[in-house]
This record gives sequence, C-alpha cells and structure tokens, in this order.
Amino acid sequence: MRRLLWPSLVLALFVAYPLLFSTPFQQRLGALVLLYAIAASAWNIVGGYAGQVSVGHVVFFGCGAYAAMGAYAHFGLSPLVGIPAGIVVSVAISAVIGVPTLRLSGHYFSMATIAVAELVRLIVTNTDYLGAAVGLSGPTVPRNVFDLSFISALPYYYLFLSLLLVTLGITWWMANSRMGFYLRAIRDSERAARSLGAPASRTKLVAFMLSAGLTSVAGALYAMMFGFVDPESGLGILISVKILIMAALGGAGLLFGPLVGAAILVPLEEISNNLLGGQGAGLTFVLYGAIIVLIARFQPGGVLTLINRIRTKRRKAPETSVTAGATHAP
Amino acid sequence: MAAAGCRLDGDAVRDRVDECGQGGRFVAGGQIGGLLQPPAQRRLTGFAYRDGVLPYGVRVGSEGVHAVDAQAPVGRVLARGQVHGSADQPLDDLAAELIAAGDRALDLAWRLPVHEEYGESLRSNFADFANSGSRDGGASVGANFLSLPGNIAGGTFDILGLRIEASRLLAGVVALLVTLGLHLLLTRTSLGSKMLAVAEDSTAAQLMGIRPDTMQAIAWAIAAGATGLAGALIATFFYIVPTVGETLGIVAFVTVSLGGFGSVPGALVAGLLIGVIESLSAYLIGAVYKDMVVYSLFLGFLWFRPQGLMGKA
Repeated sequence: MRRLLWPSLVLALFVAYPLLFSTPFQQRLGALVLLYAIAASAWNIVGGYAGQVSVGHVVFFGCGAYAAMGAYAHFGLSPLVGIPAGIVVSVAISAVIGVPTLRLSGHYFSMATIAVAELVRLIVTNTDYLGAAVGLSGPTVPRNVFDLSFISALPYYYLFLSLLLVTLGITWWMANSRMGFYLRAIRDSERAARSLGAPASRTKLVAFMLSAGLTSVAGALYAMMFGFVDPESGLGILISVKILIMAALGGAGLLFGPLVGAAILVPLEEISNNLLGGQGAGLTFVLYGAIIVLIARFQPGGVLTLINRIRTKRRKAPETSVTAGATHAP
Repeated sequence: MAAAGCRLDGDAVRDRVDECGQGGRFVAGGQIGGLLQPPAQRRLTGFAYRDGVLPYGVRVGSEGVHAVDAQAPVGRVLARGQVHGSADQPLDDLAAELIAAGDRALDLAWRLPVHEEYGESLRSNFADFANSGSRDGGASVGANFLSLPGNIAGGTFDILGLRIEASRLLAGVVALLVTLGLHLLLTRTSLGSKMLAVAEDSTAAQLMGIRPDTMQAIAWAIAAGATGLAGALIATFFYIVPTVGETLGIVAFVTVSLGGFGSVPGALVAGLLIGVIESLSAYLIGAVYKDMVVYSLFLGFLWFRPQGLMGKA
C-alpha cells in the first residue's frame, strides 16, 4: 500500500494542476507537456526499451496529424475519426519500412529513419490533396463537442492526461510481458539474445509498430489542439529530435522518463520563448544542444537514473551500518 | 530575346520551358535571391515567402529570362542562384512579373529591401535576416545575404561547346586535390594508419600505443577543415545565408553513404554521381523532385547495400 502512496499523490497533483494554475498560459503549458509526454513515451517503446534510436518518428506523428485534419478537411467528419485511420496508416508504414530498416544497426538505423521522414515530408509538401505546403486546417468553429476544438486548454489537458495514462499503461504492460523481456535482452546484446532464441527481428518490429501507432495518436491530438497541420509543424524533423531528447533527458527505457523529460523541457522552451521574444527562439535550440551534450557525456541514463542513484546511495548507507553493527555484536 | 516569349504562370514551369526558348542555363534549382550589388550589376533583390512552395518559376541567365522551378521552404528567403538583369529585361519588370504571378497563385511574394535601401541598419559581417532599424515606413525585415564579389573567380570558359563557370571549375579542381590529399594521408602516412587502426578496433589500437581520443580529435579537425574549405569554394557561386549548411549537410550524408563509409575514393565517385543525378533529376523531373530522388537513393542503399559502392561492409 505504501508503494502506491507516491504515485497517487503525483497523479492527484496532475489532476489538480490546471485548477491550481488556471491562467490560460499555464493550462496550455500543462496540456503541451502532456502531449509531448505521450509522444515521447511512445518513442520510448522503440527508442528506450528496444534501443533502436529512431530520429524519424515524426513521420508517424505527421500521419496522425494529417489523418485527423484530413478527416475534417476532406470528409467533413470529426477529427476523432482520423485517429484510427492515422493509427492504421502509421502502423502500415512502420511495418513496411521496419523490415529493411530494423536490420540496420546503430546510426545506420537512425539515418534511415531520418531519410524516410524527410522523404515523406517532401512528398506531402508536393501533394495537393494533403494541402501541399500550406497544410490542412481543422474545424474553425466547433460544430459539436466531438470536433474537439476548444478555446480553453482545460479539456485538452484532461484528454491528454487520460491518454498519457493509457500510453503509460500500455508501456508498463508491454515492459512486464515476455516481449519486454526480449526487448531488454536485445537492447543489451542483440547477438546474445538471438543465440538464446529470442525472436529479435519480430520483437523489434512489433515494438516499432506499437510505437508508431501511439505516436500517431499524439500527432492527431496535436493537430486537434492547434487546429492545423503543415509539413513543417507535422513532419519537421525537429519534432522527432525534441521527443527523443525529452525521452533521453528523463531516462530512456524507464516508464516515467519521457514524462520527466517533457516536464523539464517544454516549460523551459515556452518560458524562454516568452521571456526573450524573437531572440528566444534561438536560445531554445542552444539549450537543447547543451542538454544533449550534457546527457551524453555525464548521464546517459537521464534524470531519473540520476535520481534513482542518489536514492539507492542514501538507502545503502544505513543498511551497511546495521550489518556492520551486527557483525560486531557482542 | 528569349524573354519575350516567356509567360510566368501558376503552372509548373517545365511546361513553359520550350516556349521560353533555348539557350542559357537553369539557375541553380531552388532559389532566387539578391543582395547588395554595385548598381552596374543590378541583381534581383531578395524575395521572402510567407509560406511554402513557389508554384511558378523564372529562368534567368545571361542572355535573358529562362525558367527555374523555384521552391522555398516555409518562410525562408530564396537564397541561391543569380538573376541578372539586362538592358532588355530590367529587373524591376521581372520582379513585378514574379509578384503578379504570386498574386495569381495566391501565394504572396514581396520584394525585400536589401542593403542598398537599408544600409546602415542592416550592416553586419554576417549573413542574416534582421529587423531593420529605421521605421520610417519601410519594410520591417530586410535581408542581408553575403556573397563574394564576382571577380574573385568570375568568368566562364567555353570548352568544346560546354560552358563552364570558372568558380565551379575552381571548386571542382580543389575538391579533387583535397580528395587526393586525404586519400594519400590515410593510406601513405603513419598518421593515417593510426586513424584507420582506431576505426577498426580501438582497443587493439590502444594496446599498440595509439590514443583513440587524439586520433578522433584529429579526424574531426580534418573533416571540419575540409568542410570549411568546401563552404568557402561554394561561396563563390552560392549566396551565403545562415541555413546554407542544412541542405548541403544532408546531401553530404547521402554521398558518404552511397560511396561507402570509410572510403575516400568512394566518396569522390559518389559525389560525382550524386551531382549528376541531382542535376539530371532537376532537369528531367523538376527541381522539386530532385531531393526526393536523392533521399530515395539514400534509403535504397541503406537497405540493400549498406556498404555503399566502395565501402567495407
């Protein structure tokens, strides 16, 4: 029961946040944090747990975003209808590119994903049906509640919070299943895992597809909140890089790592943008770069790993003294 | 004058190519820009785009107006290529045509005042966009592209019916020399052997007394220097903007992947191939698609032949 104390408190805090900090900016900030946390957690499945660093994940993000907006722009349906469509398309794409790409190792894999993402972006930029360079827009005036076009960020906040819980739930279930077991083995040493009979290719592919589907949900939500999507905001490589950094900063391969990373980076970016105006946009990227260098150099495990280390150090100290006392008992 | 028959329209320029007549050359596929120039040369002032694709194009060369598929990424100023005016085809007309075509295509374009008009408030040693200082009813953003004076490596040669620009010829020759130098460095010097040893197996190299950190630092330094050299050479025929390295960086990636990681001759061969493929694609299918061809090639090689043309597996 005590183990649930902290998580319940944190959850309660999250639920109460937009009521405690109720200015539009703060609510929107919270919604944005959750949105990126969903995307980063989805990435975490293939990037953290499976160890396949995909820098082109934005293609799935864009799938969801364009599907949601396309459902409205072309068929007049609520963008919600676009979510399953987006999931199907991104899972299909991930299956098609996953087979040849997951064979590659390390940076080759990353480069291939970048190439795929850029290729898709170029194709979309030149396809009029998908809005070309102008992009697609969602409902400007909500026709009903299912259009999910709200003025205040509050409903988005709770929507994203519930979806984040779903995503984390799926991740947790996967990590504790046999697939998670195989993934950990593959991440540590693929060759050894294969030699022990782990179906490496299939497991990686399933992880990739799962991650793709969840990322597309995040993309669709993003499009609904912002009301439009264009090749830059929906398929730009920067989005991939951002969610990657968030997951890595917080702790790739850990359940709450991406959430922590998002909670640090998104406010940092938004606040610096607000404080410094036009010049601030450049500062954000400088910060991102500095963070990447720091994580890579000093703490590849991310912030959560650092926290865990400090906690175990503190816990060990009294234990050793107890045992020391025991051996010297009279 | 080729210009006379040219109509600028919202349709793809390719269709207009023949109408506009032969001669001249495609301006470097992608972008038209301008900058501070002595009045005698009268280059086109910069264009900024509110968003995305420029659906029409202008082909301009030294004999007159040719067409090019111009495409600018969101919000970026067109930066490369040169548009020369002439007595028969003054630039103001051309600019007006472009703006009119933009209106028809519902894609706003406007002329940026550059240096000449905004002089002091934009003056800097760096290529950039800036909010111009004075607010006396002028545009709020001006562009400062840098470029080298045309006489540093100007002029063209006519060899066997091919027109070759001196600046590009210089770049090509220097590139060949540098490639040769790097290849010799890697294969004939002890430093090169040490670097290759570290690449192959850094632990074994350490046992041999080679410091991997030092070798990697040296490799970085050489790579950065060579890239800088390439940038300097390109500056003689491209405009310099803060983002000029982005697209070229991706192409460099593709080239190395095609040639094979770790193979300098491979990079040379691949570079030539990619250059030809890019130009041919731009000419045959349109400048918009040449990037797609390059990326598809990249993917194809990564998937089916990761060691490239001449690399080790």
